[in-house]
Amino acid sequence: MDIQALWLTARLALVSTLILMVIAVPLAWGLSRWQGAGKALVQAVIALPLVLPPTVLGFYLLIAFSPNNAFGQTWQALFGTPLAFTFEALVIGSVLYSLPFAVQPLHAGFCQLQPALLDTARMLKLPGVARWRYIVLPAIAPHALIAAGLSFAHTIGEFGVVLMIGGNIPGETRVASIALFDHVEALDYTQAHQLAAVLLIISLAMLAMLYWRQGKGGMQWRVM
Amino acid sequence: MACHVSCQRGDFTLSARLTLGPDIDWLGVVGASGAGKTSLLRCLAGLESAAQVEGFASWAHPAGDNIVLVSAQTPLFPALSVEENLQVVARYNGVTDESFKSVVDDCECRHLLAKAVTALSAGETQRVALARGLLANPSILLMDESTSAMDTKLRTRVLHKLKRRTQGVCKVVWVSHDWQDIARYSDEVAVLRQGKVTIQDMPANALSQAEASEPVSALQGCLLQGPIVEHEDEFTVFAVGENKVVTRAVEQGEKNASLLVDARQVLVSRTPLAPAQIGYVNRLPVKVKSLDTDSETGVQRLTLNCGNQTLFALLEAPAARHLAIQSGEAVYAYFGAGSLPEPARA
Repeated sequence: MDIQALWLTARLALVSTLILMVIAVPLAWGLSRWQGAGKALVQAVIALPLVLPPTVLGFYLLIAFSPNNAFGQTWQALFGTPLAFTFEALVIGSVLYSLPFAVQPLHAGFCQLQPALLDTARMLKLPGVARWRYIVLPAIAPHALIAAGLSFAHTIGEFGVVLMIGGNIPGETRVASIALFDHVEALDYTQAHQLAAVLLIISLAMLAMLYWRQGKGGMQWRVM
Repeated sequence: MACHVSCQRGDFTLSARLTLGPDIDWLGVVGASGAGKTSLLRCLAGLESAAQVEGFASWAHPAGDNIVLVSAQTPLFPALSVEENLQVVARYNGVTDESFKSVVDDCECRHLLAKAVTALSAGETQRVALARGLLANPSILLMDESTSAMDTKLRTRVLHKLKRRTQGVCKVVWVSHDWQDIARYSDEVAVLRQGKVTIQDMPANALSQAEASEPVSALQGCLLQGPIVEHEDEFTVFAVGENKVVTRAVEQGEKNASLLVDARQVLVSRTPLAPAQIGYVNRLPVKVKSLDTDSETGVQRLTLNCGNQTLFALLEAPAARHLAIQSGEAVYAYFGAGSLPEPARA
């Protein structure tokens, strides 16, 4: 069994999801409040990974990560190592690749938040922290759960981007989907079957859990 | 002190001028739907970014910007229980346990504290919203139909306690479709029409002027109001000029009493009938000021004056023909004391 590849995949999905949630919450909040002219363009950029072949994203990232380019150079100057073909490169790629899966559910949640609730809270002199704690967070909690779940599951399912920017270094960039591809190329169907089944079951279980929670009419999140 | 509120939204223009003297504590606002009542209160509350409000905050003493709006639709915080809704506001407004309890009791919310907000009826939700608004220690409280879903008895109790609680602490501007309430608790009433204040006066005067300019078909009634003369068991007697009018008992401590007289239930007669001859409690000698007839139904509206107060009566077409009342004629108006059960609300 490819325990190493599975563990790497899980680590990548977890780190990417955490970073995504930190980025996506303020991004989705800002988007839901913003009525400016450029909103559609920003939304389109965020949604691009949904329709773009992953290899296109991977290709541009590979170019950006190259030590010949500003981003790659800055990285190397800061951390002393090149960025391409490292775990960090995969994390950056995954965050971009799964961004719409994190932003869109949260954006929907923020849009559904009744403005009257926040107006009322402001009028009743609740400070910003209290408004978030007692009103905003409970309201978006079910959406945040979906955002995190989808980000995690989508990162597990990543292949094209990883192939372009990660290569195939065991323990560093050889995630489960790449390992599966290797097994098939080497005609090792036994190993391929095992890995494919594990990925299938994990993804199915995660999605089933998400939909089950959603079906329960959203989450009751007690905060006091 | 003049307060001017203006706001432009789509093709609706609000440009309302209110007179807010130190002797006015409760200002009632009435008007047809779409007249701009809700917009006016939202502007006063600072919820409309396009609104310009001048000379409002200085009405409160001491002048403060602590203006709280409670409307019929004010949402409770859905993730919190009733008690948490109240406590979180109390905490950030430095409310003591003692005043927390008295607000909860005044709004009759004690038995609701443990409930989830989704388990409340509309009337219960309004009581909690009102209590929560009071816990923010407003210097001016704005109420937009904020007691509309409470039944009559409960509403009377809550408003009475609210009136006492706000005395000397908090000014009130309120919108209600219930003229009896508006008349009983307001010091003055502003009538809003198409975004403008057309009348601001004592409740009885404001309401009768407002009604007189309505078409005959829209007429509901008017208010008689006057100083209390005596209390009988279940009734209160107040003076209208030299005459006495009987109305439902008002709470002890009130100086004035009022009676909403439904124009459809006013009987007009040329002869003075004694109480033993007619089943109505009140009789007032009145002078017919003017007559209008609805072209569609032939219903005649009599505008009747008793001293400086106005009363309306409606006559069906045949009755109007038989009576053939002339303007300037002296007649008698008969009506009840308003203690009959109200028809069930839709």
